[in-house]
Amino acid sequence: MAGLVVGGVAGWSIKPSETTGVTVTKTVTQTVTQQVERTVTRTETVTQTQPTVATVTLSAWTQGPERESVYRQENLVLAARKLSSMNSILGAGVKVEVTGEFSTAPWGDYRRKLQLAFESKQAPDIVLSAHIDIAVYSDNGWIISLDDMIKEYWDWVYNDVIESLWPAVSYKGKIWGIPQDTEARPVYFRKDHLIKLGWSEDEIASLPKRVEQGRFTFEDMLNTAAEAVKKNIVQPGYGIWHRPNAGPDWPIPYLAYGGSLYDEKENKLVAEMKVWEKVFDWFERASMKNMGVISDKLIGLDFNRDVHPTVVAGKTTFWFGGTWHKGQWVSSFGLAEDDFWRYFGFMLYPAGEKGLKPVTLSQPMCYMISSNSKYVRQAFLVITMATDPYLNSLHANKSAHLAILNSQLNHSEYKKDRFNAEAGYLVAYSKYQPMHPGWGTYNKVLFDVIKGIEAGQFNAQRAANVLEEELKKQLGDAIIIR
Amino acid sequence: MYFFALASPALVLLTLFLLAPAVLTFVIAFTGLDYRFNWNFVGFENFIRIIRDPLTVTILTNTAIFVSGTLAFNVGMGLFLALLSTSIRETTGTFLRAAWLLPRIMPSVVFAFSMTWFFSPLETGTLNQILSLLQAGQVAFTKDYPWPFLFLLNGFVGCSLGMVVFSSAIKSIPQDIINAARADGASGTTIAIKIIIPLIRWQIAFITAYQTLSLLTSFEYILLTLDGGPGYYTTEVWVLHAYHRAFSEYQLAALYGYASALISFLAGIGIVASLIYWRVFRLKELIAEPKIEVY
Amino acid sequence: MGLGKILRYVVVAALCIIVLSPIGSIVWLSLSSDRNRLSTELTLNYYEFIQSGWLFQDPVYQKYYPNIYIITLNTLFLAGSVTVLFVIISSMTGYVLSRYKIPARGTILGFFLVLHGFPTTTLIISLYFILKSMNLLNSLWGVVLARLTVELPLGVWVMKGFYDSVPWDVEMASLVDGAGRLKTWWHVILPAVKPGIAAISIFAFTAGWSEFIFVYTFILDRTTWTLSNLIRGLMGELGTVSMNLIAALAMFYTLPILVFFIFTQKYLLKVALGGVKG
Repeated sequence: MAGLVVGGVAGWSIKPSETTGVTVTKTVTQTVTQQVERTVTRTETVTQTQPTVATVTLSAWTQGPERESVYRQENLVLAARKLSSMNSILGAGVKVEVTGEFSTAPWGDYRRKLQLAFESKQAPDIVLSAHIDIAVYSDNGWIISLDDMIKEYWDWVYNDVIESLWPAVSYKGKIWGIPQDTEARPVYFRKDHLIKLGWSEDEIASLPKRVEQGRFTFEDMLNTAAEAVKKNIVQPGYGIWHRPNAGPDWPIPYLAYGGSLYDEKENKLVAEMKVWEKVFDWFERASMKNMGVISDKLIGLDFNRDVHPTVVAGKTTFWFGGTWHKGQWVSSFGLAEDDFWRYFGFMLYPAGEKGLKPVTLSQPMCYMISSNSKYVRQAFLVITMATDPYLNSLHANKSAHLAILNSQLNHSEYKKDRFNAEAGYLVAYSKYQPMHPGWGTYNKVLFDVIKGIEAGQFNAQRAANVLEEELKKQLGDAIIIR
Repeated sequence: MYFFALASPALVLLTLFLLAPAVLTFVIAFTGLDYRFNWNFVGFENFIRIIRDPLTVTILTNTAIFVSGTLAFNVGMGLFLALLSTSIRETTGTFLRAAWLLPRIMPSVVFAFSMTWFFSPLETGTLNQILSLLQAGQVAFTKDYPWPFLFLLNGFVGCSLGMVVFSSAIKSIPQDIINAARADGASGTTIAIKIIIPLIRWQIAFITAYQTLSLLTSFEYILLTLDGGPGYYTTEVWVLHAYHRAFSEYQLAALYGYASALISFLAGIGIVASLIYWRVFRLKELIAEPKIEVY
Repeated sequence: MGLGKILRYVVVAALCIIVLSPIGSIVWLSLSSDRNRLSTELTLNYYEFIQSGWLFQDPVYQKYYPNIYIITLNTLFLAGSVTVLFVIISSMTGYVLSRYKIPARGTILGFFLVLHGFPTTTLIISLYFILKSMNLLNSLWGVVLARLTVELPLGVWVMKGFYDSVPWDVEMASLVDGAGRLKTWWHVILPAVKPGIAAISIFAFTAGWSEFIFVYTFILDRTTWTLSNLIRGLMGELGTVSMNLIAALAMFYTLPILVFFIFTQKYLLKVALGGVKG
């Protein structure tokens, strides 16, 4: 029996005791290792109050890259602190600490770091990443499935998670991650530009609604932007701006034109070439060679250095962005909250054509537990405590991400933020990227092709051919091409 | 045996960290090694993919442009600086050379940062700030002129090698030859072209060959600035492409096998080129003193 | 002074201005009070981090970037280790190659020369795997060994050149006096090749201090970063982080090596005679 206890405590990282300033009843950990006994004696001679405290140190890696999302790491730290204080009050003598890094590196670098750690079985206990990585990490046996523990703690908080998020973290019938936040990717527009184009207050105010009803299409948006360019409200190429690098946004126009990316039954990716041709045709017409709406120099610019400042300064009419950008603009790019509401509006990606539906895409982040972790249950407990309406709202408000818990939607902290409240409806139209390990490749090829169209190297037809060739070449029979 | 004792650290290091990686590169090139870390043999598949890839032509062209443009700057500017700095007062000459050595001495991130910002397409770029002071309009240098930008960026760093080597070579030319020519009434330029340059042609050839090889495989400054852009693989050179395929995939591909195959091509060229230099420059004889042909 | 001469000096001045502008503007930017642009109003605000070592004042953000001084220590460690090992190993190897008549001497020498010209950055992918298998990935030692090895051919070749210029008679005399090989080396020969040692240590220190690509590829933890990574990392956050801060940091990073170079450049340039600098 003593052996078991010794073994158990020896499994924790034992640190010298600390004074907590609280009178605590003596704990049961006296009978264990020599080290602990020594520290007990030392403590008693010095402070004469505190029992020994064992520390569980968990490691966690989380990612922004935007620094406003720092609560992804902070919340784990705060959750651990909650646990520790509960323990000290109860006299359980265990402190929980979360160490690790919040990364502001580009996604490619962060993922590389993760892969390497996973592969050498030195990954941290808790890992945050985009839900889309679950397919690959799970296939490689790098993370563990969480169904049992979720069931165990269902009554604590998991019953409160917004239903539509669970499919995003499920793969091959199991759940692999706990949703940490979600977002939506709207199209932001400049109200002042629309006014200059002659739109009435009503028309501007009703734009998001009209998009929602499918009455204002992707085509209409292109024409509006072209008009803004022609009338010199914006410089050529500044009608519509989008992200300057690879990312989850690229398939959204395809979804807006009604295309499908994934066949669930066959577990294969899908490319509907007719729809892609329409999408590429749109990009071709928007390019500098045609209507001059999207600059050919956009891709390759730096997000923080070049793109955000330009959009914030109101030099573009439409911006294919994310809900968290508003948070970034206000925190880091000097946009006053009032100015945001005065100048910017946001809406779904309009339907490709009349008869189709508007869309957006969400890429929830989730916490995962690595399979090499020695503290699985402890890690899960910390994640559970971090999945809390107050803590999550702190994150949501600072970084302008959206709620993951139903109770959050009514939480006073969450409701403080007007943007969160008004952007909530977007999530109802959200699609997710396919949970398939080949999706990354598909997305990259797609991005490269669009890059080529914008640079004037491909026309729509050639782009579609290149896409088809590359997809076949790189994905083989993991993709169905219709 | 003293020999082995003293030489062994070097031999061990070279085997582990130079020879082994070289061999390993070729080995990995024949596998499908990627983020899954499966060492599965796939034969020539990677090489065939490279040859069939339409992107390969673009990348080859980019590499050719990059190497020739930068080389021209390196050798040309190096020569010019060497000639200039040796034809003026010693102290000024040394100062000039020291100034042009700065880009090489500075850490690469810092120099890359300074050039990126100097030529930034935004109005906050130094060049544009200067231009707006002169009311001369703005230039989106890195966006519109990516190749000249890269030539300057790599050239500023690269030309100092030639400059230093040529300067020392010029200084070893016996002064009487120069004096004799001057006495005959030759102008500075004529002396430079007709006398000095032919005398140091070995050095010029050597630097050209040496830098061609090193340019073929340099990518650090491109990585730190344009990173293959702007646009669709505009400035993506061969070795940078390999690096990207292995380490910078946005999602998880990390195609180590494919990237190693790309490198193998380069490594092959490198080995062949090195052997050729060995022969052509009679490097064996380089063991002792500097090489100047005086007839 | 003839027109030709004046023209020459004008060109010299122009050239100096051209090459020093980018660097000069960074210095100015670091002192500039306007965010992200050069201004005539100057301030030392962006250098505040020198006091505490913390880049940011916000308590939450502050802890997510390691203290500057830790990173500087890493950089010093890298530069120092590379230099020490480089000098020792190059001297030893250069000596044996200069003195001992082994059959393959010519080939080995040629091998070294060729190796130096070989594009070693292309080996980065397999180096990654080799270091990983030795558990040296994410460790500065891995970077030290990699960088050291990659520059070794040059060091050996340079040192050998210096040893060659030490006449055999001096050495012979010492040996005849009964001093023994090792003592001879220490007391007689090493002092004679001091310039060579100086040159390669300068070169190695500069290379180690400025090291980027190996640290960027092999080091994953921020606490093991060197200054070059830190600047690169901050450049990724541009917009959120002001360029002035990055410029100040760049100055912090570059000034030591610039000063170092100014004081030691003549040793380095001596070697260039007939030699090839890395």
